[in-house]
Amino acid sequence: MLAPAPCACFIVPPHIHKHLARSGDAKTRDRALRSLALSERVRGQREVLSENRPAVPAGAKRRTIYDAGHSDELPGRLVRGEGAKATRDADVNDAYENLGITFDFYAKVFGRSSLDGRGLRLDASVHFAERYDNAFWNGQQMVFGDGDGRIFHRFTPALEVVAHELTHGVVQFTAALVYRDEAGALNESMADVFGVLAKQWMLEQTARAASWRVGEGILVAQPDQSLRSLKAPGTAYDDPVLGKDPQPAHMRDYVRTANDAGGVHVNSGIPNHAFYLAAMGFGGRAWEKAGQIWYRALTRGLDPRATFGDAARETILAASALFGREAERVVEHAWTEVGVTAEDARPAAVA
Amino acid sequence: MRISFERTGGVAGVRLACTIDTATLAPAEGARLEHLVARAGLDALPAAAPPEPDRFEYRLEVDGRAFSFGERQVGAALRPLLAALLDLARGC
Repeated sequence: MLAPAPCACFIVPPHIHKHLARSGDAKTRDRALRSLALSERVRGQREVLSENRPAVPAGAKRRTIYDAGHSDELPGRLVRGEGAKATRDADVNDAYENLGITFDFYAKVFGRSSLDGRGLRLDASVHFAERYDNAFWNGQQMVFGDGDGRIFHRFTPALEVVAHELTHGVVQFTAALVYRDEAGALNESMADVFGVLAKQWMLEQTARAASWRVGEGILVAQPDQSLRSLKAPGTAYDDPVLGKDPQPAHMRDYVRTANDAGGVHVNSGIPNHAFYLAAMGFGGRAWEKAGQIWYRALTRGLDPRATFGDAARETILAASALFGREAERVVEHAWTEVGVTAEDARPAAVA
Repeated sequence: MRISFERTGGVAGVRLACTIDTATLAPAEGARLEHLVARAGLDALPAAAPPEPDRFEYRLEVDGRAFSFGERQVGAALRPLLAALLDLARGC
């Protein structure tokens, strides 16, 4: 962890810091950037780094990592900006690296500039609250707890979890799926799908070679288990405290519950498995066909109240538009296998 | 006092739950838990916020009275009770 910046920083006027922040020497730039951010924050301005544009070309990634210091105040103290060297805090560095891989994944695979398609700065706070065993996207930034050390390890090292959270951001800026019931389960499923795809892309894995698991190495007592499996929903974990993974892989087992916004983390197993089946149907690398199809449906087809049937229809249409009739059949078959057809879709709005 | 506790959601989506009868706990622990319930402000929870991805949801039943709320409705009064119940649920 970095020592707090000395009070003397505040004596230097902000424009000097801004100058230093643009200077060539990495160490000076780093130090100046941090002081600048700190003093700007004291003035109640969070957007300090956006003033630092000359150092970063448009469309490039801009990561900013904060340390919440175990409080629940966001964002916390700025500890690492884009291009700054690694700190001694593994959570800061892991968050920084995994934000970067996810940014590159969206840019290179889908031609998307950050979460909003317009180069949004990626902010993340680590060490949020006390023994907080969660990670989330709050509509503006990523937030990571440390885990409780008893059930959950920390989350920052798991690329698919980081990419899951950032995909909630992508969903927010595209289909804006309402976080409840079927639309909410689709929101969750998109986060899992692009989460595992980011990891497969980073590892250059084929669909056949990939684990298709979310949250590998997160459970303290079950190091070989995970939180969800797109390949075999319902088999990710089995633990004396947590019980057994409750995810269904078929529509007939859809779980109706008032918990978890209508079981969004449970019923996501159904569209998750449809994606897995489509990817296996195509073979090869999942982001090249199945991923492109789901991305098109997410960014052009689905609306906030979408159902599983709508997702079937939109991915089938996207498959046809991108890869033709044969691809359409692969996707249609995948959805049929999980008990969903395009005929379940709500009537299309009249254009 | 009989307490049922359940936490769902979070990125993990795993359920943590426990049911406790404070009479069966060590007297000091039972009294502490009853005290935390009394101080939790369960009857004056702030209004629910729209669901946000991967936040926790809680359900609590205290002697037959049910309360459900999201993470963003949890304030300083309720936090110690949830922390104590989570510890129990982790060890159940």
